[in-house]
Amino acid sequence: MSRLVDLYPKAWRARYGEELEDLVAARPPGVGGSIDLLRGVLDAHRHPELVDATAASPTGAEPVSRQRYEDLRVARRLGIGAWIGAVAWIFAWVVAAQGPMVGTGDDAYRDGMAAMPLYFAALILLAAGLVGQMIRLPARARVARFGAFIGIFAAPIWGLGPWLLLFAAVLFVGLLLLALGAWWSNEWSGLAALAVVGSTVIGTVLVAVALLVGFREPLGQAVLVAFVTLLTLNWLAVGANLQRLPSVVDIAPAVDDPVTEPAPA
Amino acid sequence: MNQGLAELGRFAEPSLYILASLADGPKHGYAIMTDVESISGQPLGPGTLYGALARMEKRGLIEALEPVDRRRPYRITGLGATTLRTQLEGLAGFSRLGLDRLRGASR
Repeated sequence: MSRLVDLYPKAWRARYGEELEDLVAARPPGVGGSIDLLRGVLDAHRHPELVDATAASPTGAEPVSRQRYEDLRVARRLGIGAWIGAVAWIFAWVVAAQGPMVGTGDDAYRDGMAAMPLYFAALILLAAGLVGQMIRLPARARVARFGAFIGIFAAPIWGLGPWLLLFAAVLFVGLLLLALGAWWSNEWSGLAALAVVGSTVIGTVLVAVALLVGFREPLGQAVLVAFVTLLTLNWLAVGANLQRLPSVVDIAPAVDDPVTEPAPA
Repeated sequence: MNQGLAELGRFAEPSLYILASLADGPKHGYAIMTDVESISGQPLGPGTLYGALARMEKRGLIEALEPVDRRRPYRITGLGATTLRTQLEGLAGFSRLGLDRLRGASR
């Protein structure tokens, strides 16, 4: 039911959202309470004047400056870039899987070079999303920022070739640090952090086992598909929290209010 | 300086209960909700509670205090106390009038 609180206007949530979520968590509303909450949502949309849009969140979140707001908008675009990177990542592997077979017999392999531009673009866009995280994350989220920082360098290098597994490992460590650090700092939701940690760990274990054991086809291909699919969650998660812009912008008055002349007696 | 609660529409009655609840000290949302329910005997929904709180805060009848964890207490203001007193005295006068008439009719 706490998701009903998300239906309130942004400025309203910035002012009363945490209190109301706490109330709903402490005492989950039944059917009648949920209907009452929905009526409250409609009322809040009809009467936006009830909440001062420049007011700070009562429970800690400070209003951001105009400059910070603009920075976060840039980070949001980078997050959208990361999402586009997710599409490029999938298409890269699809294109690679369609490549021509080269050689014969046991030495035959599929030439996936046609996918390289897409593959490189995908990892560049992931790095762009990580730059967005660096912009977004506060200084106190040191571990997360460090993870994003090393990921920014490791991702493009791994983009030069899928066989550069050392850089893949560095990138994965960076992503894990980012997810866990951002979650610990309350900057990422538990779901986003779990998606990155789960997909990265499971994907890595799958590929490691495949490399060590040497799965026969089609099992090896199935492992690759699972790996690619799982890792796609990283692009999505990196872009996700960047889409949320603060609703509260600290607007300093540009000029003083004009002095009203007293009415003549 | 007094403001009536009638202009609050459907939030007028909950607002009166909330002011009465805050009359003996600051309370946060959950405490207000349970207190109002014990006073009125009626459930107070979260949407109505915060709709009323927002209106009363806007009109200066209550004020928010520093938050404790995620809970923010509210305190009745001087204007809110005056408004509550006026409303209750009006109700008391109405109550006396009605009771007097009942007594007169029963003689």
